[in-house]
Amino acid sequence: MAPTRKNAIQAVRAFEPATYAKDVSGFMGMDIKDHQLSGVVANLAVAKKMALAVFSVDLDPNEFEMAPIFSPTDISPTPSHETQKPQPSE
Amino acid sequence: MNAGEISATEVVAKTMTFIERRNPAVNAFTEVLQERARLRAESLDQRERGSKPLDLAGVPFAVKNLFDISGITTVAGSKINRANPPATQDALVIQRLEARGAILVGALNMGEYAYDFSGENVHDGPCRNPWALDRMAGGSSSGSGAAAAAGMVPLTLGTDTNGSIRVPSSLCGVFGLKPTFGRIPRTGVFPFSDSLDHVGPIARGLDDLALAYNGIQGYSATDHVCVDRPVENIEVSAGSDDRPVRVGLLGDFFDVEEMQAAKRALEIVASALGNSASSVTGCSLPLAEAARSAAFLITNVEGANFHRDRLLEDADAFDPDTRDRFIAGSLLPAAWYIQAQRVRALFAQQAASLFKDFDVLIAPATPTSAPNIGQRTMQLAGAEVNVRANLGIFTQPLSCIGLPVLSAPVNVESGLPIGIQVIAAPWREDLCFHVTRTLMRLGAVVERALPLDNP
Repeated sequence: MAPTRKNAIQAVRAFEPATYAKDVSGFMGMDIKDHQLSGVVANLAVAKKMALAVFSVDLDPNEFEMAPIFSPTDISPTPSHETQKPQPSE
Repeated sequence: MNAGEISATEVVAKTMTFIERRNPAVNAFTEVLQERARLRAESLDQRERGSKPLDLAGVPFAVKNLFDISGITTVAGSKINRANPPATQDALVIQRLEARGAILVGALNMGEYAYDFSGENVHDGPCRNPWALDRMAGGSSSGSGAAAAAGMVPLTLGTDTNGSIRVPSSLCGVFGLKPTFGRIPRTGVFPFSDSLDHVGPIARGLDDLALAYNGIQGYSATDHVCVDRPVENIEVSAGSDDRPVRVGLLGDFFDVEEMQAAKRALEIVASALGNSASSVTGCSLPLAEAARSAAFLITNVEGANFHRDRLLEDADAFDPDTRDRFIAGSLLPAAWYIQAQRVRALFAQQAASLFKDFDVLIAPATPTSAPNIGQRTMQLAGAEVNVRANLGIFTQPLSCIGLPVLSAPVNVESGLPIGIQVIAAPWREDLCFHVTRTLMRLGAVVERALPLDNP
């Protein structure tokens, strides 16, 4: 196992749902009520299992490719008259 | 209607009678658009005299209640959204189906904010499985599956983020298509998880599914993930196309050795294909489990972010199950989300290489037939697991990378319905239909008709 992956897995293993929910929620603006806490902690525990699975995958430590989460079609091209404006000298 | 045997007005009247008779038991509809449908039918009847026939002329349909319908508030299965103003126009796919002559007759029950596989909604009541009213319809497009299965309408629209078209299709015994990500514009559809949300049709018959799919296709710049590709229509009633295909039966993560109903469904399909001209080989996607985990994390984080303001405003206005999942999602470390996206990219490469050897892949749609309403846990491969999270265990890895998948009802001799997934490479929905049609011809997949006296 590559050291980077081993470290990442250890970090996830150290994640403790109940402590994390109490310690972090305030910083995230989430005021977890008593009747919500057990459900939130249970869901964080499931998420931890899922995180262990994704961090167990061998990824090339020298490559970084994320799945596409937006399409370039949502970026309006600069109108041609804009690009033809005289550019300021450097 | 195109044959002149029945008018649109008569179709709508019959549909309303069916809904009136069957919906109280099934609880698939949350809104019935009697007046809108009647007016639309009258205008179609007037139009039909002498004008070019429309391929969905007079076909009634209904949509999951997260699609905008002009004049109605888009509730998305929630209590919170009921305070929103009514939509000012129909979702784009509704406009497209109506332009082909279809008639919108109502909005359908769903899991709150689409974060659900059970079809149980605390605000509108559970949607019940028409084949056994004490069973789940599956979610989150529960009403879409149940309304089609109960024969209230021949086709519906739903959405699928992790399996929300395929799970109810499997449990309700109907056909459902999750097209390639980016094929169908989601304009006017209430979001859940932007990088995973798909729109697709559900129908009792395969030809109806093809007609609906043809009708909703087409690029639109109004959805930023929609890809500018030509419309690729599926031929309806394609006849006896015996073209052999290379079929891969997915194992490992998709293994159902200890899941009786799913195992039987796959045996029926494998046996039928084994007697056809197609080649059938076992195959594997080793990263499927990690991809399922990636889908879980991505959905959790994106959905929680989208609902953050609503959570901060009044978290207890959510269904408690949805609330706790969203709160947890809003706390997850960014590194987990990024890692999930990286795994997703790697899994897409792995699947692409598998499609060099196979035209389609086959996998179970659900690990079980419909569980009881209210059931919280189930046995899965010897372990007790949460029903709500695990009904979509086999659908999640596939939508995570946007593959087109058709969920088809298997011809099980008795008992509750269950489906399989026919999976193709991106943009090859035609192969999903071709193989499903072949399976129908071989008797392994069937259009199931609910007896008229049930319910």
